[in-house]
Amino acid sequence: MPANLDPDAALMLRVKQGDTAAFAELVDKFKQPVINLAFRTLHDLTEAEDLAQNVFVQVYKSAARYEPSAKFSTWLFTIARNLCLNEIRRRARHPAGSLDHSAAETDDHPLRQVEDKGVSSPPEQLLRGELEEKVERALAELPENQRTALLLCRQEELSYEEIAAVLGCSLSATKSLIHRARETLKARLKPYLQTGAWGRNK
Amino acid sequence: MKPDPVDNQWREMTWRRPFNASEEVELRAWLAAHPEARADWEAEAQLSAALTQLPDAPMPSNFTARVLQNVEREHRRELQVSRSSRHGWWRVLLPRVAVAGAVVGLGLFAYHRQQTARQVERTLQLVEILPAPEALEDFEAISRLSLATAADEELLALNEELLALTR
Repeated sequence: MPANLDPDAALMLRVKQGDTAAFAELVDKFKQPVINLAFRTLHDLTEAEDLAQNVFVQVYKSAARYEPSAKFSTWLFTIARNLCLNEIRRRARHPAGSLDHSAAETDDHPLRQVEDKGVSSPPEQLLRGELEEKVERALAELPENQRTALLLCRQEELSYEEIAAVLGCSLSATKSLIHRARETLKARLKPYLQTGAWGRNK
Repeated sequence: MKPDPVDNQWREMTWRRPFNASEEVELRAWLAAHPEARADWEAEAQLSAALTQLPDAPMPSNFTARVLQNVEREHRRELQVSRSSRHGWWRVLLPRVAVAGAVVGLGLFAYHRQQTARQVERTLQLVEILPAPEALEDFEAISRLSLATAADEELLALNEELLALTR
């Protein structure tokens, strides 16, 4: 095993040997960024969860063939993006449908258990919520490749080169996608950004 | 207007992460020298803050457990498929062998019937070209007659030899 091996790739090599604990560790580490990407691409929480589940099942199934030639996160986000694109294509073919559920949801074994954080809504939070909604809507209106580039850019562990590898384009094209996405967002959110609310709510 | 490489470098940094204190100082100094870029930089900073503060998608508390369940289900399904393909080859082969046997059997039966029919036909053709039974009534006598003719010829030959000797 090389000394400078990416720690996630090292975990993945353990998964390759059949180590389920290592796999659970990887799922715990990456579930939030994967579900964020899926949710902001598909705009449906249930479908985003199903897709994120599929991403990790694919990772496990491909473990036997895994070679640590690239960073694990690059490989993972490439799988996630490809599944998102497949789902977008499937929706275009069958506009009314939804993802097939492999198991039925019952009262005894609910598929989702989302924590109730019980957040109160004072006026400042209402304003914040409204601003967040505007940003989410502006993000949703971006072309898929610009949005994905921008969202992956938030992942500190991914370099620009790795984002380019996930998107399957050159480094300069990736930076151009991010630049165009930000310019569009700045133009669309100009009245809200000028309020300075984001800086205050930090 | 040609893009400023320093400006681009700062932008690429702010897209990824917030600036640290020394970087903030450097940026402020750069902006003091380039006041025309100040408004755009403020918008950049506000947008970065807005994107950073976007809430995460709600995460089900049993997400990892469900992934592990799905993985286990997939694993069992794959095992079942590989087991059935390893032990069930005869199930696939047997009907094929049966069909092949039936085809060969039918072929042989048809061939046998065809050969028998041809033989019968040939026999009938032969019977047609034979003379009528009445014509064969004296067959035995004629056969014997031809044998007797052969004996007389021998006798004549011997007789001729004797005559030659006596001369």
